[in-house]
Amino acid sequence: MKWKNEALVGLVVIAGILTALAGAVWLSGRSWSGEERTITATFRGVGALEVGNPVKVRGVNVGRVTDIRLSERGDGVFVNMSVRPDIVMPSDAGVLLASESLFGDWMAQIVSRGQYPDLEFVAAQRGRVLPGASLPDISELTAVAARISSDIETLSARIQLAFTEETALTIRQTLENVGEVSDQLEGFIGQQTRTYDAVSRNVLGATENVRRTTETASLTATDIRTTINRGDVQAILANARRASANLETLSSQLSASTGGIPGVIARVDTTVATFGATATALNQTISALQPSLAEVGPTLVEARRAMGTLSTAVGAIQQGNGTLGRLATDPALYEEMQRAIETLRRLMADIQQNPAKYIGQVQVF
Amino acid sequence: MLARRGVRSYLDRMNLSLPFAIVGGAILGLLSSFGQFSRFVGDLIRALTDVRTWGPLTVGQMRRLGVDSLPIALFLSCFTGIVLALQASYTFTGAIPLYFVGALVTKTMILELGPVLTGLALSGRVGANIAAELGTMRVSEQIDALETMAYNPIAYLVVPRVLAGTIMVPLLVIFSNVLGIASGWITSMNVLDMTSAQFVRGSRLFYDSFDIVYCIIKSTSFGLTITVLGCYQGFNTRGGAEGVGIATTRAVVLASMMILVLDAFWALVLLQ
Repeated sequence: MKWKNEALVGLVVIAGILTALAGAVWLSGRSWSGEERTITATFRGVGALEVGNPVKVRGVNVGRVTDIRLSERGDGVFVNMSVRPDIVMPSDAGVLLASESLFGDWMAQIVSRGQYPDLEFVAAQRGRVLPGASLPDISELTAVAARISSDIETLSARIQLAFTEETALTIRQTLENVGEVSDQLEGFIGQQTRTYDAVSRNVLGATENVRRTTETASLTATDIRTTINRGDVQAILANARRASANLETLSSQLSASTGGIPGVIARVDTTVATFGATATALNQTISALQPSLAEVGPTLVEARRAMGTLSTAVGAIQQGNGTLGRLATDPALYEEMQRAIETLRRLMADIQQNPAKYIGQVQVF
Repeated sequence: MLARRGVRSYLDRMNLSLPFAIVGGAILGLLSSFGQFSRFVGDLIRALTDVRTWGPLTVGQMRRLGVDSLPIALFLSCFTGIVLALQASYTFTGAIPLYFVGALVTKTMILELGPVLTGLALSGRVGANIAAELGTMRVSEQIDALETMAYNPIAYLVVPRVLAGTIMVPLLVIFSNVLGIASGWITSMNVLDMTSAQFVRGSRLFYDSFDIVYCIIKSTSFGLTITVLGCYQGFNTRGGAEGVGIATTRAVVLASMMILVLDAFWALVLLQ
């Protein structure tokens, strides 16, 4: 009994320990055989990846993430993965981190980088480290979706504001108007169709008329040909030939009478050339005069001003203002002046006759 | 005058120090119990050195407390797993993939329901058993007889039970977890139209190896608590059969309460 108890207890204890170990291994998804291959990949960030997340190749679970650590410089992350040893890696293998589902669990996929040309895989700085890339987290996508939904909400709010009852009535009236216009267009098209039918009928009639006219013209041409064949035209042609000879004689006479015209024309050319030379010289003279002419304007202004002043002075003299005015208008002054001049003349004559009488007393030094 | 005498006599008759005496008595009783329990634990630790006494008896206690408790623990966990799977699928319908049933059943069984339900079941079965047994020995003076014969009653009676409980409860919890997850797995496949791969995927989805460690730490503490409290209550039983009943009840109630307290404590300490 005693040994039976001990055996039973030992069995339970051993079974319990083995069950715990087996359960832990099974739940972790590790390989029972223990033969595994470790690969390392580098990333800028690993999102929500955690130790124990699955590693997949073409969707098949081939291992798990065993270690996640920052690089020495802190600018990247190294992820160790334990995978089955029989996994064949692509020649351009890379590791892509992505959400496994919508509920936050992530996975690492061993992929061919050529399948993802738009993704930027982090280049491995050392050998045997696979380049890695990570897709956006579901939270980032959710944030984008939130922004989009916010925009849609704003847009719908604006539409709601813009689409009032009045707008609806306006749209309804517009639709009714469009219906009326459509009816009118339909009537117009029907009318135009009828018009085109009439025109078509007229064209057909005109075509018939043309055909008849053509037949008439054909008959007329036949008559003309018949007439020509009868010889009536020969006489007409003889008359025309004579008239042509007369015209030729007339033209020769005209040619003789106009023989001197080229000489006259030559003289005219010479004269025109002379005129041209003269015009050229005139142009040069005018060009030379242009600076002087530019000064003529201010000179004229000055002269006009001087003439104005002179006119004012003459007006004053004519009115008897001032000394000259009074000299000009007062006869007494004139006579007095005449007398003074006469006296001076006599004095000068006396001086000429008797100079010693006036300058003999003068001494110099 | 008469009224004044009446008030004074009333005050004289009323003991004003009674409330203070109650509070002081309660505090002293609490400290006394704590000191008594501490001395009991000290004696227990010292008795661990007496391997010759407790060694041969431990296996028997492991059989009685552990192996014989296996059916009730497995029964509880089996139905717990079934209910968990069904309730999870009921909750997840429509919005969440069904493979999350596997995650919920596995995670809940390992972290919470396996240890706690097994601990509560064992507090009733094992804690009451120990308290009643030791209480009866105390009131029938068998423990006193052991002391008279220079036997260390702690090493002879308490240490084998405490060690057996501390070792066997985690093992029972492991079996409970396995059966709970298995029953949830079977239920998911047969009732919820899930595939086995889906359940396994869900089970492994959020698994962490620390979950097992956490479960073992917690269930070990539960086993230690159940057996120590049962032994303490039984070892300190007073009176006759009534005292044994009281000790048994106290052992079960205190062990159940301490299991819940420790459950929160470990979650706070180890899962934060």
